[in-house]
Amino acid sequence: MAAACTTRRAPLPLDSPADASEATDEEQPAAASDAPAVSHIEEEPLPGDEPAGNDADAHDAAELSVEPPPLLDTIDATTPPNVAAATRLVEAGRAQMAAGDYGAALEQLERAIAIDSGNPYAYYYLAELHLSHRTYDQAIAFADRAASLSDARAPAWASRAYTLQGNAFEAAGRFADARGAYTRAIQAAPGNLAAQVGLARVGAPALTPP
Amino acid sequence: MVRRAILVLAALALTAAAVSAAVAIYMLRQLDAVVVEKFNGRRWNFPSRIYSDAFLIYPGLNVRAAGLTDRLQRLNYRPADDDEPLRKGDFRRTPTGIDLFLRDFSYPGQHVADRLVHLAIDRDVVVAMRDLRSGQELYSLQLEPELISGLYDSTWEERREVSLQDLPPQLVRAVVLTEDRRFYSHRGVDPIGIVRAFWTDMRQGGVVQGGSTLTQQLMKNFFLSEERTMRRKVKEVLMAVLAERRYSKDEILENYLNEIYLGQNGLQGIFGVWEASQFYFARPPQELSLGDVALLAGLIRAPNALSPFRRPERARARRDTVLRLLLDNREISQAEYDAAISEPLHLAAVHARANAAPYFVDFLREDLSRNYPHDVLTSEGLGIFTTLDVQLQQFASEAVDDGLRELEQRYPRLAQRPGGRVQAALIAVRPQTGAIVAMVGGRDYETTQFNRAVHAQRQPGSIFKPLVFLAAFDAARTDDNPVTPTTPVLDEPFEWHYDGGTWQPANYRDTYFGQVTARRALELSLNAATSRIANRVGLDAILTLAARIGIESPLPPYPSVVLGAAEVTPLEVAQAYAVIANQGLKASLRGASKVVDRQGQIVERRPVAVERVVSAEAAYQVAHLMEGVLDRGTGRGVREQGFKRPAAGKTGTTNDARDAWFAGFTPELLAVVWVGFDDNAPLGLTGAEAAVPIWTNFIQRATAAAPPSAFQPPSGVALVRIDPYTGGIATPACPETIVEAFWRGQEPTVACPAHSPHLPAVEPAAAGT
Repeated sequence: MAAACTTRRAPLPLDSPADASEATDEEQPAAASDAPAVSHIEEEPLPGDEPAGNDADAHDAAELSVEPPPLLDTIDATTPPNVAAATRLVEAGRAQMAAGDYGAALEQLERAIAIDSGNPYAYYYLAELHLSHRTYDQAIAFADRAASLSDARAPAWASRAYTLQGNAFEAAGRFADARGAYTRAIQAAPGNLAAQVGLARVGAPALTPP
Repeated sequence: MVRRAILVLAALALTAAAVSAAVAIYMLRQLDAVVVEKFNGRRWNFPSRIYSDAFLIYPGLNVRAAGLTDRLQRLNYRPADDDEPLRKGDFRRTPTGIDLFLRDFSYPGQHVADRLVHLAIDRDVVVAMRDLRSGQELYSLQLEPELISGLYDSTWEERREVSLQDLPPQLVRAVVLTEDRRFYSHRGVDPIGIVRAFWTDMRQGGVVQGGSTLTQQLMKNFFLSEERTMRRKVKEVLMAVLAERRYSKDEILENYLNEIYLGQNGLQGIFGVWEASQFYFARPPQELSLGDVALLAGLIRAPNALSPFRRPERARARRDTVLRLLLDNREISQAEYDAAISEPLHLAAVHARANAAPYFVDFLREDLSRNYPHDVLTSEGLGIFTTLDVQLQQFASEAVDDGLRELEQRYPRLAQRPGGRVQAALIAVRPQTGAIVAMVGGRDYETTQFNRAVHAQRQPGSIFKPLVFLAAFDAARTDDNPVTPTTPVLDEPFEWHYDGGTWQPANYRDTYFGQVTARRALELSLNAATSRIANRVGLDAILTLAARIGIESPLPPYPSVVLGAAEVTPLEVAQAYAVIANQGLKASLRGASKVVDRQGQIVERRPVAVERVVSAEAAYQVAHLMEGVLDRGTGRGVREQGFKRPAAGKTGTTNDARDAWFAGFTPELLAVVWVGFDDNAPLGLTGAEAAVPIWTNFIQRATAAAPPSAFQPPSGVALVRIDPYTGGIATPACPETIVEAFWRGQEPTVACPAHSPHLPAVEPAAAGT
């Protein structure tokens, strides 16, 4: 079992961004000709701690998302102190990611989980970090957890997380799963434009908000 | 004739002289090559250092439960007096909390600056944190990682190489003055120094100066043994001269200051002034006072005989002698001398460095050896940052020690058995990150190094049952006739026919309960009812799921495996249960998080790595049932011992009670405990009797520092209050109700028709194990 600690190690997101060619060809998007191609996955990853950087769709999608409230606004007098501390660590990690310091960001996000294991924001930004480094399986799993943890309490964040997961599925070539994720994103927040665009891109008509 | 004889003799003498000269030159060249190789090559073996995880302080933390004072003391933080200004590495209790001067430290990929902070504490809980210099409010602070052990070959030589310019000049001058005051004027050997040392020693009435130069001492330490022979002395002198011809005084001095032996801390030899400064004063050399510097320089002569820990008066006298020497040689002023001589000894707390987690270190060594050759691990000075929490490790060791001792007191037959003492293993992990925070592989590492937490292949017994329910609930998503927590199951003897045989599962003490719910089947660990569910799900599905969630040992393809008739390790159980605790996400268990080289550059990073291996909803449902095991089932001893936080778990006992298990978790921490004999002899105790007390003792202490939290259901789960007997939605008339977790769409839609009178009252005491 000790082998579990070595043989099942995930790719290192900060040291070796996954090669784009690892994306599976499980299926083609139904509307591939119309959709903005996920051409970024063909580009060479940047060296070292740099993110893949060209996940244009993912970043565009993030901009189009329904904007959730700023992270620190989620803290109020009723927030348990460890949750508040974890959320502040996530905010610090987010800022470090924005500044390109991915190693430090990873450290902060892992620490946030250590003191508040159910912190959806920590998982969300871990997913974002992995997506930017093309470790799609990790991005998908962390986005899944983020969405699951915020579903009932913060639909905007759940929608964001599903959208991020859709981006990761899409980048990994798993278009059917991407459709599912985008659909869930729209169900959580019908006004999520990024999810609607994503859904259109992977070959399904945008859902009409219920 | 005589003349001829003289000529022959002269010729012979010349030949002999020429040969001798040639041999001497050859030998000198050989010695020279040895010196060059040592100076230019790798001079020392640097053991890898294994560190714990950095500890996080945040508002809400209970500092008493977190063992903050113990942590500070292990890190050599010094309690300061009220009137004393705080220096780096000091702390002081105040009426409102703790003032703490955190040291700066390097952590892989980041440098954490020193910080003077105040922790406001109310009833042991941190309520606020403030930077005392800037006034800034703080939300989290890191304590530096603790050194757990070194990975070394035969002897543990702890040293950190430091360059001459990074050492305080006062320390360098003090060492030169005490050990070799003519260092800068001799060529490796100092006849005048020998006479002067002799004279000084005579005058001071003791050994103040030595006769060997620093260069000679370095040559002796580098290459030569301690034997006092003329041959060795000649070699030492020749090599010293050769070294001085090739290398500058500063190079020689720098090597000397990094090389010298300066004491012993348990197994660990203290070498070089940097390491000694940390060992004796818990500060880097740059932060030493003049008195500290003099003490350190004076120790070189006889580190153990003059140890300030064991012989403070002798150490102080030696320090004062060195201070006098500095004054006499005008290295310090009279005022500096007066101030230094009245300094108390600022010593770090004495604690022999024992390996606090020997089984974990072995596990790590084994794990790392897959990627790093042995000599790299033992000589390249890698920094291995781990996930271990030393305080939790201590709680785990104490829980195992106390638990086994109490068992032996209560059941003296255990202690009287000739075949070996009863053993236990405990492994604790963070399910969300896979971090192994504590590992105990046996009750006494000195006696047996076999790591039961990692290598003991034991039958899991009923601890396997949650995997059956996990497979059942996972399949339920797409099943027209799904198994839910309220699904009725017949708990009666039955036969399971399979290729080549028939298997008849029997209940504990042959007691059967008739129709029960799936929940009760797990809560009471009913073999027959669980086997029926397993039969319904299918053996293949269960075995596939077990492999997917972390059981790597081969499982026999026979129905009895569903009741744990197989062999697995506690580590595998921890991995599998961590998936349940982490809502279906498998975070691979890991002991190391980062490896850095001697320069602090990251060589390898092992971040949290997760994989969806089973649905979140099914995992949550199983965890929800397992909460019932503690609240109403075979694990209720946990509650009886006073642990009230949200938690889930499962007991396990194998045939003839050879193995006793308990595996359980809170939302943040999971622990697996196994108790048994190495030779597989019957223990005669159930998991509830032998493992639950150890688990509870550990988890109570290990979780007390953080505020409690609850298990959060995933979005696909509907929580419905029902009547536990009818399975209908609870009405105000129901005498007993329970909240149950269903896949959305599978929750009951009909109100409780009536309280079912025909279900027998269940006596947990007579149920499974």
